[in-house]
Amino acid sequence: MTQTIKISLNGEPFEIGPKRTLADLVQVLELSQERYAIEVNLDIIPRSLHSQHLLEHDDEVEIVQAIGGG
Amino acid sequence: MRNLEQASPLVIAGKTYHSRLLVGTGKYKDHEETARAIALSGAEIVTVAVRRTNIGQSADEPNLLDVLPPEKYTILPNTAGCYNAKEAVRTCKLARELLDGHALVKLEVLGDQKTLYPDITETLIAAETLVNDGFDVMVYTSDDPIIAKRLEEMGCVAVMPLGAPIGSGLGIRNPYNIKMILENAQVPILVDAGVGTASDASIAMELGCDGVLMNTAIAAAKDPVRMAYAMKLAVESGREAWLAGRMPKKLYASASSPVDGLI
Repeated sequence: MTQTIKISLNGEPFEIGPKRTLADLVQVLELSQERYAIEVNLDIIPRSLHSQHLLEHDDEVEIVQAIGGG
Repeated sequence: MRNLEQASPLVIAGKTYHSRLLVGTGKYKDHEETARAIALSGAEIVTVAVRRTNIGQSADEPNLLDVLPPEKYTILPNTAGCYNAKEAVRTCKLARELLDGHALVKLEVLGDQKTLYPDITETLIAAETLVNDGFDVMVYTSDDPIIAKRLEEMGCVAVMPLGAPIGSGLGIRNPYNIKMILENAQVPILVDAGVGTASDASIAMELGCDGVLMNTAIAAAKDPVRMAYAMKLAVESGREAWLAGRMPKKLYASASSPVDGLI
């Protein structure tokens, strides 16, 4: 089994591994203090499931946050 | 006089608000200016947009929600930038997750980039989907009274017709349509978009609107913080004037001083 997998993160290629839960991804991105929401392949993964959701090769991950807007 | 105001607070989706001015958080110079302007506006409901997190940027860059804590403000996530119902519904679901299950959203489905006019067909589809999914939908729409009523009947918690195109600052272009919408409405009607300066906000409130939502009129003023305060006063004075009931308009003069007892 390979050590890393390739995913798409906010439209850009990204490699993660060997730890590859959503919680691991959040840690790598240093987002843990932020308010964010994550979607994998168009399905929202609730925060409570981030530590058990394993990312797979070619997953399309979107991480969003609130910014200024009207 | 304050009692009159307090006798009829703004209620949206069961929650009571004392301010009838809702403000956006876009186009400000920085978070500090955003926070100062919003504090002076007195707004209790503030809109935000949902966008991709900038991956790889400084992790300690302040987050908008740190400046505008959801414990203090009612955060109203919008679907700005969505051009069809599917994108808008997806954005609302992400916003709900982002805000820990918060169900209040501002639905706007836009038609094209030049006018930013609402795409009504897609707005109706998205509104129905969102209402059925348990969202409290405040919906941005055109000033068409038939569509406004339909959106209300679908279960939207507030209907928000435009006064003029988003960011145009042209004011309330069709007050008669806004009046027609108001006459038939059972839910709060807020003018969303088009306000350019304080008098525009007063006009909306004098028509009997339940509130006004604006962003650019404050953020694009030379002094946004001062304009935020001007808008607070304008919305309050327009509301008071509406409650007071204006005098009838007459073509000819009517002397203010008694005509009897002249020397």
